[in-house]
Amino acid sequence: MAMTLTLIFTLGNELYGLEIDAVQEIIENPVVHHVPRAEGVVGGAINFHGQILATVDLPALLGFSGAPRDPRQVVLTAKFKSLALSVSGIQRIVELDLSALRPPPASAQKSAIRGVTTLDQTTINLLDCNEVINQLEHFYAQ
Amino acid sequence: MDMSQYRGLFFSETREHINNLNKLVVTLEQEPGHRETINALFREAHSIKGMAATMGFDHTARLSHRLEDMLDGFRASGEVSAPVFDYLLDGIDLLEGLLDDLQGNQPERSIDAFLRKQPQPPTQKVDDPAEENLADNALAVANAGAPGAVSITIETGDDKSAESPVRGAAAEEPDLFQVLVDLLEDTPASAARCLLILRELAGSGELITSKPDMASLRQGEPCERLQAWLRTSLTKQHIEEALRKISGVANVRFIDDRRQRERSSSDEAGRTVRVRTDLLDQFVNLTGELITRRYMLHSAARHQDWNELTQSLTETGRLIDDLHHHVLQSRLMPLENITGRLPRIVRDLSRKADKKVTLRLIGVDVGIDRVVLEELTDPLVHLVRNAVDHGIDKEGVVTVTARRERDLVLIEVADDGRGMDPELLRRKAVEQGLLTARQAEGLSEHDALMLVCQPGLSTAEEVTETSGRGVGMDVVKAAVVNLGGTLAITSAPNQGTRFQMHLPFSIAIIKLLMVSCGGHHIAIPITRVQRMLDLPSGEIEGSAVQRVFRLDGEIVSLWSLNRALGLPEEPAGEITWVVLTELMGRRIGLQVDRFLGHREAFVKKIGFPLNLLTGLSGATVEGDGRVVFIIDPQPLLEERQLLDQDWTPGGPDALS
Repeated sequence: MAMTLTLIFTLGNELYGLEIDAVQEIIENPVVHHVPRAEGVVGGAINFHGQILATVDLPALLGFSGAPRDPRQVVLTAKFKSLALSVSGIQRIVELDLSALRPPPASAQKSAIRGVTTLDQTTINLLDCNEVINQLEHFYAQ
Repeated sequence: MDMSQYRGLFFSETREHINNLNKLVVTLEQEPGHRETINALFREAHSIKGMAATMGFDHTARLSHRLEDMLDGFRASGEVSAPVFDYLLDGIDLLEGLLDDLQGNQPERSIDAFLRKQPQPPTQKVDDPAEENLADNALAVANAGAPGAVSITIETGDDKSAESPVRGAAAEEPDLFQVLVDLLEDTPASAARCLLILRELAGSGELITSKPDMASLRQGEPCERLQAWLRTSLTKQHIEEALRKISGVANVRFIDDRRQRERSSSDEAGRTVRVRTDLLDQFVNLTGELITRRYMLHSAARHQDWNELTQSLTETGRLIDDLHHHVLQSRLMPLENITGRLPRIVRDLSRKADKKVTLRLIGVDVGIDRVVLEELTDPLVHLVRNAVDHGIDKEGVVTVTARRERDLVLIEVADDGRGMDPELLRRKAVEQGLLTARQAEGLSEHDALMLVCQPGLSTAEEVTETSGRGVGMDVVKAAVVNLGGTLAITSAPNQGTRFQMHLPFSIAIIKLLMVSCGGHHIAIPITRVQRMLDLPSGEIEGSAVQRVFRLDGEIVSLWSLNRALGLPEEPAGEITWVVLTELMGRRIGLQVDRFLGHREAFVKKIGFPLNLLTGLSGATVEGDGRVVFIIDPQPLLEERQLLDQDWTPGGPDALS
């Protein structure tokens, strides 16, 4: 059984997973700079080793209103446009078997879930980074 | 010996030589028998031959050898006859094609047809060599007894003349793809049909190679599936339609060639730029001095010698400024690099349209940043094409002028032709539903002329091969604005048209005006700032919807940058701080909370999705680590104009 290192985090009360391969770095307490006209789903920008990256407010983008924000941020690899993601809470890194994902529940309309698996009897939603990018594109393309 | 490391150099140098060849042939044509020009041509061809032979590029070497031989003959006789020019230019085009092949890591195309050919007398049209070759083959096969082939030859001939405007109008980069053609089972004379298909393909673009190749088809080898690699600007649909007219064709499919994309990315990585050696020496000197300074700073810090420390810091600052200046210098390339191809373009265009056009180039040795120059190539060519095609009636002069104006470079394309009629543009814009009659009436003359940059607006009564399809000027304007520049048009009926592009000559490091809005720092490129004003707030007039103020006897609209950026506005004080900028030739005031001063800054590109936000053109990092975004007011103002259809900047509404 092939196991994949996966970062577990929360959005609101739901558990999400993200393959470590998609993660460039987890940064503690970055200074978030104001971005004019960003309007909601982009919370600001950070200076990440000299690159100016957008921080995406994932709970806001995916409709988890009122959720808390972890002071840490997850920076994705260049393959996923080096987005910095703000999430409700970063938990831990576990080994998951991602070979047998179940399809996401049809009810989750605005979700960015590429499949569902189980860890210790809890449901883990695998984050679909491409869908996050799609939704951002959609949000800003008028 | 491994020559691969010299490939990049070979390509950049050979393209330069080709550029010169084109220029020189056009010069020689105007002054045939000019000995020095013939000699120069010979030297260029000779250089290419030498380099290509060293690199082992056989076709390129043979072709340049042929050109060199011809030119050597002229050197001896001192005379060049008219039909030779076309032949030379065809040869130069073919050379360019060979370079494209090599750079795309593909086998060099065939040059045999060209080598077999002799310069044609002027009455005879010189065909594309590959095409002619194929036509010969098709006829040969037809004569060998394939029934019906002859009539199809005529049919495709008609086809070709009908499609040529389409070909010329497609301005995009040609696409490279694979065409797969299946013939019906048991098609008689399948080889002949395949040759016809190849001929059709060669007529719609650049046929690179095919499987089976022409040699085996010519021997009559039966074939049910033809595979061909084609580079063309035509749409796949168009090609498919043309092929389906050939009898026996069952199926046409296209496969995109990935090599095309790989090629462009490898081009990007391997790009070279030439730097003068004295400039490199300066780098070494400056870096040496900086290193020395560093030790002095260390020592001063260790001894806590404040005097020495301050002095060393000042000196370090001066060295960094120097270095910065030299680094920028090394990125500058003369505008000539892209104007070099204009004489050839103007020559070909004016011959095709049977016009007499003189091209004048003034001040083209001005240096411009490599990046700006690259982005400028297509817009400049387009403006010159437009001038020849639309500006000039039968005979005239097109002038390209370049000069520095403070932080900007002005590049101007002017013609002395029939000029543009603002009234006609207003009418067309209304006819085509781009403006209401009232809006059109309200436009100033300048704004009316700028309508040519609206996508979709075309005034050309008939579509010609080169321009007049309503594409182009919007692309030109977008390119100029993207570079942080402005485009202005002046024209009058029968007094010619003048397109002026003001461009920053470097874009990596620019001067910024820092302002404060709603507690945030905002940077505006200085190229977008006409003036900074501190107006007594009592001088602001107008309604809450549209505020205005008077400046030099003119009414100028005022709007809040805070509001445009979605930031809270401060209560009005005694002084209103205004950045005066420009939109479509009109001045507009942008109210800000405070001026923070000028600074030179390195512009950082901003990534997704920040690059989707209107008005954000980059970012810069301040000394305290604060990230400040650079705002280009132009798109913000244009967006507002779109939202508010009746609003024209400082227009009649503002006066009432």
